[in-house]
Amino acid sequence: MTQVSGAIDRAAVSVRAVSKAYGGVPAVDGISFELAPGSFVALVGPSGCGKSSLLEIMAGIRGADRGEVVVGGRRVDRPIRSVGVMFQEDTTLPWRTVYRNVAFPLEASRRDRHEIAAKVEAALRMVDLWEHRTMHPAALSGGMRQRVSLARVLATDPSVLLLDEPFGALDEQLRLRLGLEVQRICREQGRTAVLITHSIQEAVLLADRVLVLSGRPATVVQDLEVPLPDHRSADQLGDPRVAQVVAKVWASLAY
Amino acid sequence: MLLVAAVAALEVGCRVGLIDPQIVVPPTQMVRGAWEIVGRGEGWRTVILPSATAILVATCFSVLIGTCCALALSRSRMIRSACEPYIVVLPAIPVFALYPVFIAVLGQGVVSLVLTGVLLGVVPMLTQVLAGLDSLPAYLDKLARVYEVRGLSRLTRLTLPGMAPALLTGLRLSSAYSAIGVIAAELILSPRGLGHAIHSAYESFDLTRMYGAILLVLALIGSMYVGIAMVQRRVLAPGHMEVRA
Ligand SMILES: Nc1ncnc2c1ncn2[C@@H]1O[C@H](COP(=O)(O)OP(=O)(O)OP(=O)(O)O)[C@@H](O)[C@H]1O
Ligand SMILES: [Mg+2]
Repeated sequence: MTQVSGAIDRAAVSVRAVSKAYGGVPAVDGISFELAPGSFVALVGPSGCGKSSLLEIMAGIRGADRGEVVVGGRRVDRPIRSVGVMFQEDTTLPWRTVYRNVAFPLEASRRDRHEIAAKVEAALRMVDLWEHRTMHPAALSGGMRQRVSLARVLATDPSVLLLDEPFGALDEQLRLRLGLEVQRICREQGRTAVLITHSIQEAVLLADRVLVLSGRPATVVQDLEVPLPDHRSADQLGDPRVAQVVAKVWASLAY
Repeated sequence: MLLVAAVAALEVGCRVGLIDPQIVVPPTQMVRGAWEIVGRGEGWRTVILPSATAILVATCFSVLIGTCCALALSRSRMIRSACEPYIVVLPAIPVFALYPVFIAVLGQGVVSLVLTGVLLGVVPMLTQVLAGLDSLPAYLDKLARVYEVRGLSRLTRLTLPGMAPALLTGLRLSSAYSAIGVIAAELILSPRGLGHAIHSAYESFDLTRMYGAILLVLALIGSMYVGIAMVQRRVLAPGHMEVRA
């Protein structure tokens, strides 16, 4: 983490000309965008175009070949505390209870015991799993396990959440419900979120901005505002404004 | 159930004379032989305790050495692939045959016994831990990177708990193999222990004592195995499935 010289950064996240190649074949090609603090942005793009790679670069767990990512005025070259990541696959630890799963990152960074207890409880209450805190992941449904992962991210109190198809493995109903839950939490707490999803409807329904990426190597081909109020619900699926943005996304994916 | 039937059949067979009492004694007499050893304080001191101590020490070393070797091996793909063929043939080496060599070098003491036990016990531990490391899910690595869990912290928070089933299975096998090693070594040449008791009873045609000692060996190994299996069931979280090698 190095302090970036120059003016104060107003954006929560700046991705500046980031490129990444695997074995000479580019996966991410000079992507740039800025995220306003508190915004909820969806990234959609064809499978294998480099979305996860971009996200891992933003999280500081993968290095970029060129370009830089700046979060809160700091250049990201390793994982930073103010950024939380949630992965598509189930990443709960089977030997830990729900409570201790959520406590994991806090224990790993050797936080104070009382601080851990307070944060874990708050996070578990946010995702409505406080009653299940003594259970092991094996006894939970897939959706509950992803909520454990979400609580684990929230417990670290990140100002930016990076969500890589967090509910992609769940059925559509549940995915939308949990998505709305995350959107609500982020909006209420003023957190910035980046959501990768392969569901265009979900992207439009949850985000206030949709970035459409091209096929590999990924570049931004379309940057769409979603003209909906902050408060989102499944009822808005029938809203003509949603249909309009969905159609635009489809059009730009045809590239 | 099957065991009970077999024991009963053996008892009856011996009693009615179907089985030569010069070769096999009835199970009840075996139990009496075993009781004669454990029923007296001296038996504990010269027979059970020396064996049990040697087995315990050998198991501890086996587990430690096996785990450390496996962790070290897994750090380098090249070294591991170079060593793998040797690890595979390791169990086939007749370690007891080396026991006289140990005695010549290390003397007739407990060190030679423990060494034999370790040589046998380390192999299953090593293979279990290697298998356990291989079966660790890839997301543990992602978590380690995101939360910057490294070194010892990573070992104790992610790697070891992640392969706890393999570790416990390794411990179970390792203790049984160590016990076999120690007792077999005692059998060949040792002034104490269960192996020696079997050997000396055999030399003096004391079949009751010999079978009694054998029974004690089985009981010892069996109870260790069952004991560890019970611990395994208790400490492993539900759904933290056993890794099978
Ligand atoms: N470690 C790696 N080594 C080599 N190639 C890689 C590696 N990681 C990803 N790739 C390649 O880079 C491309 C982009 O991968 P990435 O996982 O970022 O895609 P994605 O957009 O997240 O796909 P999906 O929507 O299927 O999750 C893919 O074609 C993949 O094969
Ligand atoms: Mg992906």
